[in-house]
Amino acid sequence: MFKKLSLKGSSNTNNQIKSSLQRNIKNSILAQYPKLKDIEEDVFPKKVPIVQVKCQNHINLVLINNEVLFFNEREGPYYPTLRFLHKYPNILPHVQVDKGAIKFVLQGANIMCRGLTSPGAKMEVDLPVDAIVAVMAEGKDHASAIGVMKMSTNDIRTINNDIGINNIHYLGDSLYMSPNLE
Amino acid sequence: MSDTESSTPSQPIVVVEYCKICSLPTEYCEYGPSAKQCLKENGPHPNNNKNTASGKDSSNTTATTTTTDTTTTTTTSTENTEEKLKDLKIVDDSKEVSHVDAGKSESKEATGEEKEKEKVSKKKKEVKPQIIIEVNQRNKRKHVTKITGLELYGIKLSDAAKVMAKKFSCGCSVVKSISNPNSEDIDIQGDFGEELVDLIEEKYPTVPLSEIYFLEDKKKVKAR
Repeated sequence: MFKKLSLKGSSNTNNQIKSSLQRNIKNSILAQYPKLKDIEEDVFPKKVPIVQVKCQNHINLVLINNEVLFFNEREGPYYPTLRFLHKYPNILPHVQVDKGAIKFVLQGANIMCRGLTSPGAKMEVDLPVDAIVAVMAEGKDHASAIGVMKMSTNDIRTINNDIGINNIHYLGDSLYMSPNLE
Repeated sequence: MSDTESSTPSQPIVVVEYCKICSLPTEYCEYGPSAKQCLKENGPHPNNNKNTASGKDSSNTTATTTTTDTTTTTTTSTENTEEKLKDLKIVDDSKEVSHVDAGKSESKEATGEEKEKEKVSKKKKEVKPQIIIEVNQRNKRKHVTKITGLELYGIKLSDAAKVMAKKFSCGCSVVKSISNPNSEDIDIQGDFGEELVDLIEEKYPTVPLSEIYFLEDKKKVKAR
């Protein structure tokens, strides 16, 4: 998704949006990630405006204090950025890939079922299709990518073939490398 | 006191150590673009030295490879004799052809067959029709979407252009292709890459989605 991150050429990309829209964004994020309700004050401080930046390919970034915290595509679900996920690792369910897959995940490749069922990998939580997950790595403490389940965990175990998780945002992509947009 | 307790989050913020050179978490430096520099700067990360399950597996695989090597050495002698026997040809003495020539003529025939096969395969490769969608930036905010290859699926371009113009409520025209003057493209005023795929899927079910590609930086990327 973020092979190249480029802001649209228009002058009003970096918009401080209407308060009603800010509320909508905040509510939809909190509805999507219930664990954020405990730390709502930290994530969305009062009297700090939420800024929405529009990028190419219909991607919207949500900024607070000039830091990208969430992004979404068109009207789709909001994904947290990796830097935000590193701060609050428990907001997403975790899936672990084996050591051999790390190199490919960090190049932006989708995660194959074999990488999720081999000895070094773990899928402890049962997840449905289209669930947003944090992709951890064997022997590492922090998430290496954020993905969307293309198959349910049960299907991944039984079919054990083809792509299991779509890689949305990974360490080293252009969104990760530009955390602050000024 | 109670106020301070309530303000402390139930999820404590995890402080992550990021590398100053590659800006990845230090444990991922070995996979970063400047692994050697990071190693000099930060030293080896403790997580990278853990003995994991995959490490054990790798030791097992090395053992198996050594065993397979020994087995291959024993079989080579028999394989050589088989190869030599394959090269031998039986030729009638009545025909005035030397043994060497017989081998050559047969090999020529074989190469001729291979060439024919290659030609057929090339033709097959060429025939494979593809729809290529390219979005070009005309101005800062103006885009033009170009579709090539629709006519290969028996779709009338003028009709398709009308459908697209109605659907996207924009200018849509059939233009001669720059790359191939014999064929024609459809130009749409605006950025409708993703929407086009949906429209093709809806209106023209004969077109397989696997054959629709986006042109991004002169590289073909599958649309779906």
